[in-house]
Amino acid sequence: MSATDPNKSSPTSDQVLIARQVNKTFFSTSGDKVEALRAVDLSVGRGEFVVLIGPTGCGKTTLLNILGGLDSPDGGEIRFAPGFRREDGLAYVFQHYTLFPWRKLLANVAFGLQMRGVPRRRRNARARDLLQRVGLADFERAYPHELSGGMRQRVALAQALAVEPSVLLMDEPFGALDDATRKDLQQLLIDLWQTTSMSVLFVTHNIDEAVILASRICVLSGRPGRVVQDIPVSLPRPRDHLAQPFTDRLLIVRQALYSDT
Amino acid sequence: MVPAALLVAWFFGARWIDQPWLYPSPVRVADQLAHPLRDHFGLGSLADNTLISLVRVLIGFTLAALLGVTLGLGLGCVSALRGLFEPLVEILRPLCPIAWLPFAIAVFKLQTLPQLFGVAHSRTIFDHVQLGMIFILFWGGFFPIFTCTLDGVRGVRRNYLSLARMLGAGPWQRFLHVFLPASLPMILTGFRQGLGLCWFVIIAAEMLPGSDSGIGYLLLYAADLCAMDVVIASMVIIGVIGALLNFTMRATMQAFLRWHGKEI
Ligand SMILES: Nc1ncnc2c1ncn2[C@@H]1O[C@H](COP(=O)(O)OP(=O)(O)OP(=O)(O)O)[C@@H](O)[C@H]1O
Ligand SMILES: [Mg+2]
Repeated sequence: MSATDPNKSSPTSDQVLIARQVNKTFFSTSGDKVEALRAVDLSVGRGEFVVLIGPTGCGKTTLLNILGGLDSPDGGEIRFAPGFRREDGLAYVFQHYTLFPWRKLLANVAFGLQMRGVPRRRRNARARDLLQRVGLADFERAYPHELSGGMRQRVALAQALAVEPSVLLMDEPFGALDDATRKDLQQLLIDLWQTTSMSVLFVTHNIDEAVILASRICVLSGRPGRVVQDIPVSLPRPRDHLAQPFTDRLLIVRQALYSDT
Repeated sequence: MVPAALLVAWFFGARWIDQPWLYPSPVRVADQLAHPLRDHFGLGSLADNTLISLVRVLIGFTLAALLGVTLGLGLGCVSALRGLFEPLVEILRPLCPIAWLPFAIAVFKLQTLPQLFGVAHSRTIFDHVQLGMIFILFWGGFFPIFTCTLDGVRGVRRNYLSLARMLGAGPWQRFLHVFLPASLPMILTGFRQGLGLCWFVIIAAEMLPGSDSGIGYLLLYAADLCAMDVVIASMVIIGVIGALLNFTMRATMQAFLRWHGKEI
């Protein structure tokens, strides 16, 4: 768990999550010290779509794990909005292993609700609805291994959304997909996000993806990761990735990434 | 093709040697197999004795499965217990189950299962189920099941545990919905190995002192009387049943675990 009580105080009412001065150092099995995060400051507003971008190995997964409560920081603090509890307000789509291979799709999507004690009929109805919304209504009896990578990520999204999180963490969920599938899923994610008041913290190292999705982009430096720039992206949606304002943003992000690393 | 050729060779070989008490023709063996209810030497038929062996195995195996899975799951999930039991396990595991026989006879004498419950003669097949046999069978089945379960639990990917945790699963729910299903393929593999080993062990145990029935006993008894057709018929039955047990377990596994071996 985090070093501090997550509900002690929240600086402003429109922020759901604040990380302050978060440090994390790993000791590898050979005894080497790997400083993954150094003094990371980050906040996520209510309903905001924040994209975290940084070079590989800069500690993005580490930061999400700490925010999700799977790992604890060595220093600094994590705070959530009052009344927020990770157990029922937070969902996390991992970089790998995003589904249970022994469960059919419907049971995978219904997992979170099952853990919360929602009766079978109700949770299955909700899972069915979500599978339909991610375009996999016909696959509820399939096993994950029977799906393509893109389909699996759709299910993972449905699985996370089933618990109606107020904060959704996503770790390079579309990283292994081809371009067309990736575009489809980005659009799907934006559509789903816009129908809720959920905040999303989305990790990627794809600049194009960052500018397509984000309402704000946080650029991390190479290891040890620090937030080096905070770039708001207030372009109207749906975004035309060939238009001038879009490519301007792209350039700004690219400069921020390359000036530091 | 190959079995047919062997059968023909056997047929003419036996005819040429012409010592049917040592090298019976396949026709005589087939005749024994075609009459499984025929009594032999007042010991009961091939079918009777096969059934006795099977009942012994199933009882011993069930006990081994219950304890093996429980202990495997327990030690797999609680690493503190593991350190406590591991040395004991490592010493007992390499021990051939048959080595327990003198100990089993000393402790259980020739007591049968009904006698354990105070019934001297139940006049059922269970009168042939000696506690000592169960004990030996237990050791035969226990270790494959226990070690497979333990390996299964320890091999559960941390990612699945984290995923369950992020979706709100508490410790007990993680046990029920992650540890258990994720290690089920290994548990069933343990069952398959354990059952196979039990079938091995019972045949050997029935040939040793303290035995009074079973297909292994009949085989050895027939051999002493130079009834090689019964011996070979028994061997065929033992082989076929062993294969059937293995096949059943494999089919069960495939039916239950359509996802197995297809990790994503
Ligand atoms: N459990 C661990 N033990 C030791 N070192 C670790 C551990 N987890 C991460 N690290 C190290 O911390 C650094 C940051 O890792 P992290 O997985 O957070 O990077 P990332 O930004 O997510 O990279 P990628 O974009 O490739 O996923 C890496 O150098 C990694 O080797
Ligand atoms: Mg990562």
